[in-house]
Amino acid sequence: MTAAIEATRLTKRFGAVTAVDSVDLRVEAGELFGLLGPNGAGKTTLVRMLTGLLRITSGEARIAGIDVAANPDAVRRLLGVVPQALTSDQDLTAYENMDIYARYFGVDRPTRRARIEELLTRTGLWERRKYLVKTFSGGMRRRLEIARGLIHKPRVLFLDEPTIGLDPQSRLVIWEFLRDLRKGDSLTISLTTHYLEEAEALCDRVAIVDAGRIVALGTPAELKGKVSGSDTLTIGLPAPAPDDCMIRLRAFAGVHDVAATPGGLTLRADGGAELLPRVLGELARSEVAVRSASVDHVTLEDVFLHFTGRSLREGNTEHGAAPGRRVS
Amino acid sequence: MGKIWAVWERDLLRMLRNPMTLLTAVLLPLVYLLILGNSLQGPLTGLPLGVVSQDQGPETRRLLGALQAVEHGPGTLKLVAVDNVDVGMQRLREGALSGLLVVPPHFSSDAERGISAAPGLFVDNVDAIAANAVEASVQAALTSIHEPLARYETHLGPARLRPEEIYPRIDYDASLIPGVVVMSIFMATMIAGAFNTVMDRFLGVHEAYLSTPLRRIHINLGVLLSGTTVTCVTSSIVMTVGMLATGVRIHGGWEAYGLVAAVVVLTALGMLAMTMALLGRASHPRIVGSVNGFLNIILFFPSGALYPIQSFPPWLRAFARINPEMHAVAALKAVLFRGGDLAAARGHVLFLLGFTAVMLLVSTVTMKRTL
Repeated sequence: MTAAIEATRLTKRFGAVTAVDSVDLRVEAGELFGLLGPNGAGKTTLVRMLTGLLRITSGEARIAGIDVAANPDAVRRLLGVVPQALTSDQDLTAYENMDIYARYFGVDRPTRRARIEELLTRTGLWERRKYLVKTFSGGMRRRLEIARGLIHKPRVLFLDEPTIGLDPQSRLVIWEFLRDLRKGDSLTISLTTHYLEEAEALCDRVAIVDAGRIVALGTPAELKGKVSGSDTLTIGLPAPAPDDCMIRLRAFAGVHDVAATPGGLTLRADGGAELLPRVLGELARSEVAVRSASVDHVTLEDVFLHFTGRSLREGNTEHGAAPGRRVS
Repeated sequence: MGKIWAVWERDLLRMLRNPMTLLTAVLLPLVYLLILGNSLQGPLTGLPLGVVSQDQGPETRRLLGALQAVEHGPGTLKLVAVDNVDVGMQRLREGALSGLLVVPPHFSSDAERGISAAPGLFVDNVDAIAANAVEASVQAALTSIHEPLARYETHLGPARLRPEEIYPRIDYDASLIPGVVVMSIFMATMIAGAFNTVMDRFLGVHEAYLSTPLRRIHINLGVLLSGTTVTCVTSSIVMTVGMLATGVRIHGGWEAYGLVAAVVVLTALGMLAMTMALLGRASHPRIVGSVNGFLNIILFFPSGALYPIQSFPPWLRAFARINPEMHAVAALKAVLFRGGDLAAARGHVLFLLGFTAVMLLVSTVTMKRTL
């Protein structure tokens, strides 16, 4: 079956800087696929090549089997693109923005009208359709732009950081909308984000991008499974645990690591919830008082840390960005 | 065509919703008309001429009388009596006088005896035009007091030309209208076309429409046609106001109106396409503003709008021949001032047609379709 998105050794260089380095990727039709990585990892550059907005240095990109470099117009007809920057025209109304964008795709007037009403209603903007976009909040503009990206019923929707800069409530509204989108047509969605919880909450599969390369790829569960010790047990102690107790805890089946912390202990282990009573029992036998206990499941943050050696927040680079002129 | 009109509508709506920008494209050329029309055409008046008279004879009195006639007639000079040459020279150097006339002793007696009598004239030549006007007025006064001498000459005097103007008289401010209309076209090109495209790029808005199936020709033609629409409206307002203010009428019926419309549309489209070809790939709107300001100067002054191109040196004349503004001005002058005789406009319109076609092609081919 033809993949919705396919990249083969896709590379983008800006002079001496390799922003995207030989990326191989295959996204099936109907998938919600996440590209996760810090700012500057090369995610946006990768998406811009896939959507024909940037020339490909080497390699190949295909959308629904059509070569992006050889036939960009045919590819663009299949794509809805919601860029990271807010790109709706502020001096136009919401309706005008939708209508004009639909005409770029050659959508006929009756279809346009019906589609605009449907999408603006679904995004909660129909009542504001006659208002200039300059009066909209950031969340409303983002919803409008997602609606605009869907006006011509694309087969693949590229969303580049759709919730960046939004408050939690607006973010949840967009998440709900994206989940809702998947109930209907077999729309393929590529979601670029640097929010772990967003990728985890929405995506069927996630590619972790770092320094222009895909360093890990799989479902969130698969990725988390690749991190040894998928759970973290945090035990609060009023006093340090004795050494012999620590040794016995390390010997428990499923425990990968036990570390003393200033407030107690941290254990990395598989099946943390099942392990917790046994750990508490061992501490009781060793006459160690326990103040608190919690089990945290591994997150994509841990996955990112595992594959790149650093956390997402400290991983922000400008690797994927086009090199600018040095001024000092 | 539907995609071109969609781009046209978007661009036009954005400009129409910023009316202050459009207002400048109308108002500034009209202010130019007001300022240029009144600053370049008016006769020089009230130039202070210091007079040191060291002779009290009849010829001196006749000379002063002739100068007073200039003072009270055309008013070019304002006579100021000065006691001596030193004081006069000091006031001349201070800028209080534009010239200093020194009538030497024995001026009258020398003149009566037929000896060349030469009053001295010192002029402040920092302003060459004022200096020339002072010199010409004094020379005319001197000539006039010798006129009686010519009565005794036996010949009939030099042959005199009796010029006949073949078209209705055109005042200087009326003659500026074609230039001001062309300037209004250029002003509008500064707020439309390439400026809007570069502003989209600067704001990152272009990413949205570049990811659609729009082709170069859709984007370019849509933007240029919306700019042409705006430009035609603003320049028509400028032309109408200018014609009402100066009393100029279009003769020659519908063909003349059609030619005026053709000149305005072709000039607007050609200039917009030219600026798109030159500046459409710029990354910052400031570049468009500064280069457009420069272009405005180098295209407008050699256009013949203010001064005939026949006064230019050969290299500037060569440039003027390929300057679209020169052809636009010449075509408009031909239609507006030749009383319906449209033959002189056709060659210029053909040039504008060719220029516009070439610029449309170049701007489309060079348009950047990727980020």
